[in-house]
Amino acid sequence: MLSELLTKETIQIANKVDTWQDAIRLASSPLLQQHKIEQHYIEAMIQAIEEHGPYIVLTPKVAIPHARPTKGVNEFAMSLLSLQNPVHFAPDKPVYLIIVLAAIDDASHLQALVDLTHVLQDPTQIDNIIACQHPESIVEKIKHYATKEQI
Amino acid sequence: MKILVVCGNGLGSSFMMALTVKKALAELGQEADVTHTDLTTATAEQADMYIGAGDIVDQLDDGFRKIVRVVNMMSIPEIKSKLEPLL
Repeated sequence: MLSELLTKETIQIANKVDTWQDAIRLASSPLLQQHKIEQHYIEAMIQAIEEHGPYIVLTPKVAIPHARPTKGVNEFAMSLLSLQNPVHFAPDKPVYLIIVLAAIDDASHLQALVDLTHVLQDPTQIDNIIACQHPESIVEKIKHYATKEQI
Repeated sequence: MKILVVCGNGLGSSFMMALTVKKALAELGQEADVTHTDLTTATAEQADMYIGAGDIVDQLDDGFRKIVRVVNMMSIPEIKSKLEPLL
């Protein structure tokens, strides 16, 4: 499920960005181009963080920005931005991986999140993804981690 | 025991954290009813324990509720160590 969403078309690698807002905009750009989300969904994700704090940094180095389905999602989608240099969501929250979640309802994205949990529960796997130099290698890593036998 | 996992909008983060909480409970050999929801719903819902990112669950802290603040929401070891003394 997750590997159907995170493909070389939705994964980007960048050297650095100036602000966490820029990181979310850049990470979302493939979804905007594919008309899976509207521009105001991006602003809604940014606003959610301004409102509730950077709790979407679920685990060190990884942020999962998202907003409600009604805020401008056309189709269930995800995208990933991997940064060579971290962007800070808070002074103590440096982030390398930004995984945008665009859900259309409360349920259809859950299997993808189960897969994503398998990827993120192991810090070594996160570091291995950050070390990837090509979107294709990130695709392979995610496919491997998301489907591997759980301990 | 009912454990409520809380995040900003109850859509993504709290679900992923609930999976981690369930795994942590399994490793502790404990059983509980684990559900996830958004902050607004959580304020009106009764549970034995409220768990989530500090930013979020601090807003539920009325001095009576049992609150668990988690830094790394994907860390089974962290969640285990914070739940164990409360079970």
